[in-house]
Amino acid sequence: MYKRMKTLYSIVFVILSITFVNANNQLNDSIIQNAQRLYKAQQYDSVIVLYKSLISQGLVSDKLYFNLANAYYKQREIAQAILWYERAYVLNPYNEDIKNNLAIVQALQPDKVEQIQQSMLQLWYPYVYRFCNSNTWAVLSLVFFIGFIVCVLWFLFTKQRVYKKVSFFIALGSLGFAIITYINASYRYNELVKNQYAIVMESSLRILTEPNENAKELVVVHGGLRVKIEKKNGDWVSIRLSDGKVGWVQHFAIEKI
Amino acid sequence: MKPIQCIVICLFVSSFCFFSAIGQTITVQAPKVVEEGEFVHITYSINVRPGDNFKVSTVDGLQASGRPQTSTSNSIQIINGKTTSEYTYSETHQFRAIRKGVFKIPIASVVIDGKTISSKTQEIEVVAASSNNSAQRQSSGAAAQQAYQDPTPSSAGTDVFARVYTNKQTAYIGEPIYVSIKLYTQKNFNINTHTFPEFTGFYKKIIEQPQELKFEREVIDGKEYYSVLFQRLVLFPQKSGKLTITPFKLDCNVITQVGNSFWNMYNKQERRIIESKPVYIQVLPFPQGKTSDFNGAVGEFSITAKTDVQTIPANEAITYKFTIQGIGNLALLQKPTIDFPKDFEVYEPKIIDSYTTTTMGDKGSKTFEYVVIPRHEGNFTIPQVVMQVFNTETKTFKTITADAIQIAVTKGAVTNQVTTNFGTNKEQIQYSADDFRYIYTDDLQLHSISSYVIINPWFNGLFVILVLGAAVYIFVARKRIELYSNVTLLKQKQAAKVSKAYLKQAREFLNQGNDAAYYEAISKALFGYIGNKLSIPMTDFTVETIADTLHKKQVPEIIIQTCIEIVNQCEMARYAPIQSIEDKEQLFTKTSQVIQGIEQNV
Repeated sequence: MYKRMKTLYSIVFVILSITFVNANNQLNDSIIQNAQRLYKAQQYDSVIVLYKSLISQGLVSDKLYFNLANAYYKQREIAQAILWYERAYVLNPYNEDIKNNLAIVQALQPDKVEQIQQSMLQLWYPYVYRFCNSNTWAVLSLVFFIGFIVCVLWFLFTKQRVYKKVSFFIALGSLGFAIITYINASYRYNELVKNQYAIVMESSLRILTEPNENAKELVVVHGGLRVKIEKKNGDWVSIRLSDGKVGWVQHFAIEKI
Repeated sequence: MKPIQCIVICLFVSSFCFFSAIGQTITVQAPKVVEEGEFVHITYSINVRPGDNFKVSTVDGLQASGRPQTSTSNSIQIINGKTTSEYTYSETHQFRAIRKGVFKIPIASVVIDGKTISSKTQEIEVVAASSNNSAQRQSSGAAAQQAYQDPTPSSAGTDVFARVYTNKQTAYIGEPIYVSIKLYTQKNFNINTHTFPEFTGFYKKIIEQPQELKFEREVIDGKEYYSVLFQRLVLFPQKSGKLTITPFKLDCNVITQVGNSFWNMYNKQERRIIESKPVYIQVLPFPQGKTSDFNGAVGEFSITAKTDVQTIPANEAITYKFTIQGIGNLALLQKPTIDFPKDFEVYEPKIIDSYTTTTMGDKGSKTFEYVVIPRHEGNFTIPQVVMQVFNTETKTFKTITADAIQIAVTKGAVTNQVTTNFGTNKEQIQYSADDFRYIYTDDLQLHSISSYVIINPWFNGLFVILVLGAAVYIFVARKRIELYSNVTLLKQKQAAKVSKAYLKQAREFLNQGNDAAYYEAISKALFGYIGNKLSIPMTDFTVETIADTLHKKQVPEIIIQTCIEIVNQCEMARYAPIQSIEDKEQLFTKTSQVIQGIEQNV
């Protein structure tokens, strides 16, 4: 009875706190404080509501996503927990805590899918382009390009053979760096904004061979599995499992990272 | 009689008296379980002559019937000249179990030498009758009879049949079921072989299995039978579903008396295979409410945990006793999961069973005795042990706990090993749970969704603007570029080559004797070379500028002097071309030497 009253109280509090949110920093701070207190009191459902209210304001933070995922994990909602850990991971791929908890939760996910052998480039390239922010890469790219232009002019106007040689190689190098950093910036941007990966949200999901209710069933997977979105066809989405198999599901069964 | 013999006899007699005076007990032989309506034979024996004051108390629930049978036995053994005598007096009382329940069996007492000696208390359990052999059952009519299995399998005759009786038809996993296996007969018989049923899916515990067959009288359906008990046991189902107890099989010769008169009678033996009906038991799975603390305990239990000490020096052993007490499937209980502190060294527990099996299950206690050695000082807690028990009466799970125990470990004696091998004695730390990280409590660094410049057209336009700007600038300044870089470079590279061509020409003119052309070619070779190599415009072409530029390039003085000589000689030859053939030859060599010298030094 006492616990029920406590839950009721916290729900009322949550509703009140949501009504008065006006993108006010102080209010947001108090929401975070309260979420922390409720987390300590193991009122995880209320914690989730509080964090969600922050996210619905358009606020982004890897730590916020991480905290939300923790609350979902405590509620044993594996699919939601994995989704938010993945989102936090995309924002900050170098965070130890996110990787650690994601691994723990993924161990609870029942499906075991074979991994396709990835090439060396596929393995280490994400570590490169995630090293900096998309905008940082873009600015770097611009700087290198300016360097390239300057070196070309230097090459054209110098009389000395030595300077010609030096400026030629610097120009070539900075053009290469400009191209690489530009590609990095666009990869990072695509990962953050146009992520192709999604998490299965339904606890048990039939993947079909065709975008049609009566189609043959390819395989049954469970909530929390990471799939790659291939293409869309109306309400149906074609997804690729990590073992390379492709099938169709309805769009609401999965959620993009 | 010799005196020594007298002493020996006296000693012998006195010692016998001494032994007989102490340690007298009445031993009791009685069955543990009987069925309602059955006769119970209890035998009390004592190894002294009780006289006539042997008394047996009366007990509610057990009705004495008939006179007790007394027997005495006396045995004297002489082994290697040692004589031992044993005297036993025993009295067998017959009772009839008239009610269900657990009773204390009657206590026998006897007064010997003014001391009262009593038998130990012992319990007997009376369970519901397997057959309607009591008077009440007969009167209750056919309906009551239907509730039990048909006692007479049709294949066997009604005069001899076997039966496997169970007190329950449905049970939960782990719930005890009482079973008795009996043969009912109206005739005499000899048993050849018998096969006990198979209890697949059950854990069985035999309560009683008589070594010799005893005949009891029982009345079934108004007919009088002799019943022979083969086995009494308790079953604990191990899996849910419909489990089958296979029939009890008996191969015997039934002896029938044939004949119509006393004189004309003989025994006829007939071989028969008697089979009881198979028994089906519906085993129910556990209802909802099971948690991970449930380890299969079914019944009514309480648990306690205690240690022999609360404070102990490090590296000394503690005994931790975990006791499960009560009634239920004690025999099947596994050791509990106790999260000892990781710093403790824990050995496999010693299991002490002290329970008796009754029809309600095992009654008593089971103790797990752990030896635990704390390795380091500090305050430790052996956490509370939580166990979930299923109660078949209320059909609910009950959670029982044993308290946590605080242990203070003081600094132990320092062993030499620790001090000498400090570095190598490191322990691998052990994690007891997965290291699930806690939420962030510091600043969450909330920020709005940022805009990305990479998709901004102005940003991408910057690259185009840069390229266009550079292109326009190059176009505007293209003359300077030609002047300063490309053409000069080309001329420098080709200087030696061009001068060589002129020198070749000069050699031809010299051979032909065309002096004017010869000097022309020589001066072209030298001036052209110097002009191209040192990038001196033709307008500035004087002896002074050439010498200055060569000085700047750090060309040796001799080459510069020779160069100036050649220039002067060429100027002179144009206006006064009267020169010897040797001079002309010398001029040619000098010129090629100068060109070579400048080429090497610049």
